[in-house]
Amino acid sequence: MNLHFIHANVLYFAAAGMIPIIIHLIFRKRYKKIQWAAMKFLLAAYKKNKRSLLVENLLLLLIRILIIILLVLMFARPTANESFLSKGFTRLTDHYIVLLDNSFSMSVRDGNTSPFERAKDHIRKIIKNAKSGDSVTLTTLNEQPKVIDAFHEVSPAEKGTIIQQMESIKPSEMGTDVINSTNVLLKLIESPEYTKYKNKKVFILTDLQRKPWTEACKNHGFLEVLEKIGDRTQLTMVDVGITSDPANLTVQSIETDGVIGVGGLTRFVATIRNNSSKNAEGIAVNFFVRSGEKPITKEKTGKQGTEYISISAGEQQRIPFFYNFARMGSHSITVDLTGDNLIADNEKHLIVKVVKSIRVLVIDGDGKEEAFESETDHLMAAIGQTDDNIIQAKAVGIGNLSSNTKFKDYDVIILANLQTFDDERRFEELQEFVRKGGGLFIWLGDKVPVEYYNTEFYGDGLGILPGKLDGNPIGKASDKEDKTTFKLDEVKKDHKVLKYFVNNKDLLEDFRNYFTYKFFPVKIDPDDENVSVIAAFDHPQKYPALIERIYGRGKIILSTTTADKQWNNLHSDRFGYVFLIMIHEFIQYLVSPPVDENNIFVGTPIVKKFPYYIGEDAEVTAPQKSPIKKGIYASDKGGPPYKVEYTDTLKSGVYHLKFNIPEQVMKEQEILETTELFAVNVNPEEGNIHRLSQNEILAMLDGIKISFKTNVKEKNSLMGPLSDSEYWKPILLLILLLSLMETFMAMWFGRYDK
Amino acid sequence: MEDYLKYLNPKVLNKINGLELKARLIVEGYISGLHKSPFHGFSVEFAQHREYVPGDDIRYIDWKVYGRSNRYYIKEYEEETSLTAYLLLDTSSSMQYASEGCMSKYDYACHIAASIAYLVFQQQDMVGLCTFDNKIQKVLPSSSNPAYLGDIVKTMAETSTNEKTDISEVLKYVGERLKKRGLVIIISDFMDEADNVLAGLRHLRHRKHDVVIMHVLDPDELNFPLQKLTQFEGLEDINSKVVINPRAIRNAYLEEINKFISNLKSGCVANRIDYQQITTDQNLGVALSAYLANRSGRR
Repeated sequence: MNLHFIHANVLYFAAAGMIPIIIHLIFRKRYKKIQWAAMKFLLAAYKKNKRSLLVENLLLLLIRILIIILLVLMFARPTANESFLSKGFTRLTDHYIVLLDNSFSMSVRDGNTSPFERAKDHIRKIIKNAKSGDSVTLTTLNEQPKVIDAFHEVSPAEKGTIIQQMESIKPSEMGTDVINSTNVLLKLIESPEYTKYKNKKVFILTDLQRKPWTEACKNHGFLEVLEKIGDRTQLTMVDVGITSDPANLTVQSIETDGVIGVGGLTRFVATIRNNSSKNAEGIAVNFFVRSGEKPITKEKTGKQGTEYISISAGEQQRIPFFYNFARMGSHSITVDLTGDNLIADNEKHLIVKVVKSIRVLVIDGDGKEEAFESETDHLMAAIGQTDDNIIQAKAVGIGNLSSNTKFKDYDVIILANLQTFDDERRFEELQEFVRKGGGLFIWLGDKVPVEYYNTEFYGDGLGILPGKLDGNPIGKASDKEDKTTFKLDEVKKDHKVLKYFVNNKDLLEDFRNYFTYKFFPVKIDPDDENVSVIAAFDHPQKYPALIERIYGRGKIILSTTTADKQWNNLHSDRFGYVFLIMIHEFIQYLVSPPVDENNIFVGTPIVKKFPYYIGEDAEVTAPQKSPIKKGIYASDKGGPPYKVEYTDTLKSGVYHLKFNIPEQVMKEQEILETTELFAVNVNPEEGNIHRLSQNEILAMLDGIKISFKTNVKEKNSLMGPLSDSEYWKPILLLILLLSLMETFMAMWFGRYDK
Repeated sequence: MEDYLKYLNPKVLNKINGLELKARLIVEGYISGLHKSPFHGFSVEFAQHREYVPGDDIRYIDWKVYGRSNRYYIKEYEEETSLTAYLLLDTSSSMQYASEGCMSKYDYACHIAASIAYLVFQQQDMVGLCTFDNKIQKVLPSSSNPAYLGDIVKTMAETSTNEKTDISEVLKYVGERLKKRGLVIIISDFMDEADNVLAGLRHLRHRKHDVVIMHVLDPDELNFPLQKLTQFEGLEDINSKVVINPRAIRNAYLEEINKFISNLKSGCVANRIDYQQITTDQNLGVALSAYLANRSGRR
């Protein structure tokens, strides 16, 4: 038995147990004398009752002594971990699992408090009311749920520690991931350590944000998980969500039209959404641009302008900003808003890489002397040939492809109706070019040998060709009279390369409607995750028109028709502009990395891989933190890719990586920039603070054993010694019982019977 | 003189004036012409005739009148008898007890004795006094002279209380000494064994005396309202001491005393003895009036 007294000094007062004896002795000497006539009756009564009087007196004396000693004990606040007391006096121990939603929507200011503060108040109450022997487990509900404190056994001394653990949980900048978080909860409940407990109580404290909870409730797996939890525990959902209508505007996104070149005016569009139920007026939206040479300081520098906007409730507004980049390299773009009730989503960052130009090598497989007869004449005309054009293209006939022309000197290679390379090594060079991040745009045509392409380019799916040519071309060329026309039927609107098209309805319509007369039937491997169809023809077989393949760090787009006017009318007056935009958009898309690893969400680790050695370590500077060193490690095989990883991205902002690249490597790899920027943003969806009502959530969770509490407003700041103790309540109960017994016995013995 | 005249409290005596104190039993008349011999029935003087009504005892039909008038008439007599009342007053130590606000049992007993004596003298009957504790202390022979009341009162005032009670022996002695049957009124707290008391009473009854006992008690003795821890010392035995919490013993004590009273009462009823319990907080006039009215009604 491990018996403790929180106020052990009080035990000295146990000597007060002598008080009833002293009182008894004092009063025994203090009596009045009386001469009594009916003495014989008195003596007879006394004689008969002498023994019982003695017993009664002793009994009352003992009870009174016991009451005093128990009072002293109660004020000394005894505690015991494992004792007969805990078995005898206390009920079955409770085991509390608290799932605290700390997604950033919980930190919205709601009156004088926030859902997160309300949740903490409730947890404090749970911990305060927990008894010795109970246990508490604290977990978080967000995109990266974590067990903060597991199976922490409660004792008066430990309550403070548990509360400290709870206080260490801060509102995160992550979104809500109900499904993942409840999976963690279920695992915890099913863990061998937890199954030994019987009386389990699970509290989910959340703001009941409408979108994530609705989506989760539509997920059958989630409902099954919650049902299991409900069956195995006393599951309670505590709604701590907003009670007022707080103002909240969210910077949803910052977009730019494509690759940014030095010198040109670049347009950025910030989308601001009003997520509250009130109209917002006079909101200042600021636009910042900063270069990536140095980490961003606390002070917001680089302010370029401010727009004042008004947005109706539930609406969004696109605000354009323009900037002329004077130098190449990484830059961070930041858009922020004036303060509202939820700060976390008031700022968004975008990392852009400013380049001098996009170098494009166009290899013409069907060169002609006459103007606009060559395969690539229209293509080159569409790209443009001026010096200030961001796309600087060079066309070369396949016959004129010099051995001095290296693919790695370009950003994008365009193959137009290519029959074959003269030098077999060009295939390997092209593969290496794409693998390292180059963009490849392949146009087919009548020169294309099917078998050759399938063998050399496709290579059973391992090559750079996105699909296998499935026989000879379908249809007739544009100069034939009885030609059939095909239009684009299925267009993958959510593909990044079509973003501009999707935002322009007329353009998209024309993109669907240009005629293709002839194309190569191409089959793709539907299981290959790196291959996707951008658009398909309205042919019964739904043959693809445009296919993308991710290959290493690069991308390939295959057009199954020609770049010139032979097989389509993309160069007609009606659809020429579609081709123009298409070429520009596709080239810019091809030079962008397949995965935008520089613009990530909170919690996503920063990972940067290099195909060559770039030094031993990098210096990472997180927002408002000091720089730290991170090692750069080789792959398991001991060679490339070399990788640096930084996982502590729970705070939004711009992260700065500086590499110590050896000079030799700099020269060999022609590296111009030794820094890398990463924008870590909150998920703007979390900024939508609209919530579910109790009825709605209960309807969605129909059939699940769950009770519901709403908006607990207790506010107890309890740190340090806590007011309750393990056994003072049973002792108090005992004192009350003894007092009642003393009164009853005294009355029974005639003490109070007048 | 003034001191002992306090027992003749006019207020008290006025309240019982007009009431007749009559013996239940027919005793031998002392004053001739006023009282008929008990050997001749209960009437002593013809009063009037009245017509017979069903239920009348036919033994009292005047047959001479019937012979002359052929009507049934009943002869009615005024019942008058000569009475000798013997007052037996307990002067034992226990009679000293007086609770707060009350007179002592002895003083109260003296009031009773004086009042009754006065009443008896008023109707020209005879009164005698005998004080006793564990033995006969003083005896005043019976007399019908109203001036004799002063002697009785004086005797009561001069008597001290300091001995134990032994009623049994006293009553036997008194029974032997009283030659004429009469009314024996015993005024005492009867702090003796019930059996002893009843044995003495039976002896008196055996001698054909009409016995009335006035059981004088202090209200404290009946209710035992004491609260604080108390050392009780016996009035009749100073060596008898006990320290008791009165609240703790009250029920048991009341049980004892009520048992005694109950025994005494039932013994009296069995021996056709009038038992009257009087507490010292009672209004004496009211108490005596009630008793005498009751007794008159039972005639």
